[in-house]
Amino acid sequence: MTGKPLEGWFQDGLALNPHGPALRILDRSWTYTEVDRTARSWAAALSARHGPPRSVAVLAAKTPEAYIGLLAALYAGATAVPLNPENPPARNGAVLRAAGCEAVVADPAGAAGLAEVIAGAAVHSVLAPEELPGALPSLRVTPNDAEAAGFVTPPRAPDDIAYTLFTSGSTGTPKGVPISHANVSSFLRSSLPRYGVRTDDCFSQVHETTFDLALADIFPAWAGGACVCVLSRLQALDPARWVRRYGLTVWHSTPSLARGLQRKRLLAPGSLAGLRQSVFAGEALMTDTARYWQRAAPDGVIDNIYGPTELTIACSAFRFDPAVPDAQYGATVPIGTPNDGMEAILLGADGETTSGLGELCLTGGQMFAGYLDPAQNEGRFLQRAGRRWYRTGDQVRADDAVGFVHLGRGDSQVKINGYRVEVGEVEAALREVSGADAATFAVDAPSGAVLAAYVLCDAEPDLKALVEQMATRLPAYMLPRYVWWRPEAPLNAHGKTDRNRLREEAAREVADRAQF
Amino acid sequence: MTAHWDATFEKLVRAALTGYPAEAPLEPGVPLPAHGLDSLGMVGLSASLEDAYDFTFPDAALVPATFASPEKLWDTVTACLPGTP
Repeated sequence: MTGKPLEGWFQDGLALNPHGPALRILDRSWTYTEVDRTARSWAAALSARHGPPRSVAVLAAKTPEAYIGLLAALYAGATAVPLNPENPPARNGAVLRAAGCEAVVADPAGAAGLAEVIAGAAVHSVLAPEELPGALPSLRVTPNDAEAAGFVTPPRAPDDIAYTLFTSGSTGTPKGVPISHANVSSFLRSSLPRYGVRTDDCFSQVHETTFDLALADIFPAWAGGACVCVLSRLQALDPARWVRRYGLTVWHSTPSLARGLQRKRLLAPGSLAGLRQSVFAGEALMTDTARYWQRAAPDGVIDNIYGPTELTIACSAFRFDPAVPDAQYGATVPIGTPNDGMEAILLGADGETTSGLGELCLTGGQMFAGYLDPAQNEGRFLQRAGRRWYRTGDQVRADDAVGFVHLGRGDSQVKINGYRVEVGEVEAALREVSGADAATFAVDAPSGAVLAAYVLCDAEPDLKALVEQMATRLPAYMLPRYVWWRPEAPLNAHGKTDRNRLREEAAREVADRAQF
Repeated sequence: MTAHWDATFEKLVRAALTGYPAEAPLEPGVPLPAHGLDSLGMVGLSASLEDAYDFTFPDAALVPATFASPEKLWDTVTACLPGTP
């Protein structure tokens, strides 16, 4: 293959630092050589029964299986499909079937719910560390050294798919986003100079591999021979402890995490002194949050990176300069200029390209070719100047000095703690479980946006049962923080539910509750 | 249903939830994230439990799975307390 397959970037790190740590989880670490050997033997095992699988589901979070399994899928020449065992099995099953996964790598939590996840799917091989429940042992494969020694990764083309991630879809169905080897290589080539990775670097790894921000930690670290240090979402809320304990040098997280720590005044000045670089992505980074973080990490740089999953992890970047006064940045840190290999245009409200303010559209090496379900491509691409551009849905202002400044979105997609959520998907789920009309809103709270919802029906519903049913359908980050019942919906002049009034009411309720 | 935990635990868990009906019993298996417990809420709850029971959660226990239900959380807390088998 011309161009490097995604696992080739790991092998660069292996060559640089074969006996150094590639992965650390609590008190256990794995060297590059160990990770390489293990991934190779897993790839061989996954391919032993029916040849190399086309897609491998990696049903694991924050465990060795999540990371080594990701690499094993690539070593097998397959598309990796990360799935989080914390998510409802029905949702994981729908994703696994949509992605056509023929093999699964599961961690203990993933193996526990596996029977339900793979029901009705054409899975022929499962690699899991513990005894599988029920009838699944017939699918189980076990790595062995002889197989691994003879295993060769099948050749792939640059446009073959390295991984498929699923994001929230406004119609109620998750959208599969296939990303090619060429897409990720384009991201890494333009991003690695910004990191200047050293083999003694330790990168934080906070977000689950179902979220592409995780790949922004893992692959730059691995390409440079550095260590990926895994933190749970809860551990990550005490970053100073892990900077000391693990010797973290590069921090990656959503701005929400920093914002939460700022609100509760949990970061002492200088407490993150070991960090040489902090990278924020996934949502707007407030300028005052960047300053707060900078005081805690005085010797490190802060990068704000931006990009939807469809444009491969992050497609623009901005380095925060603490010497620049707030007035020049405004409330949020700019998202900066497009990565090398990417070009941007702005689309005005009139549907014509414009120069000052509009919807950000990009094209280039990091742009995916289209959704797993081609019907979802409708309206997401733009033809201009003989090229195809991806419409991000993000409204931005172009600024000569700082690049792009993010202004908001023109639709109902929101970020909840950095996770991309289509409010319509949450509302659809609430309608389904309640059998009644429902209205869901993202409301600003001091800690960031939260979801609040109304069930609109005459008879009082069992809200407790409803929210618990919601949890069987949606990942935890998509669950509304508040669900209220309203027997009579306010109506507007057209006799329809007055959503604006409900939204204001929800904002007041959320503000009242945020007082204490 | 036998009492799984003491009144302090019940009070602290309920205080960390949004909108859990006061009249409804706190069932052992109730999914806490469905009732508004997010990551920051989990960390806040872990701190209040540590204060109330004078112990420290081990690193490996500070994961969302620990906070999945009152039962899992109580099992984790009691396993950390001195004098429990």
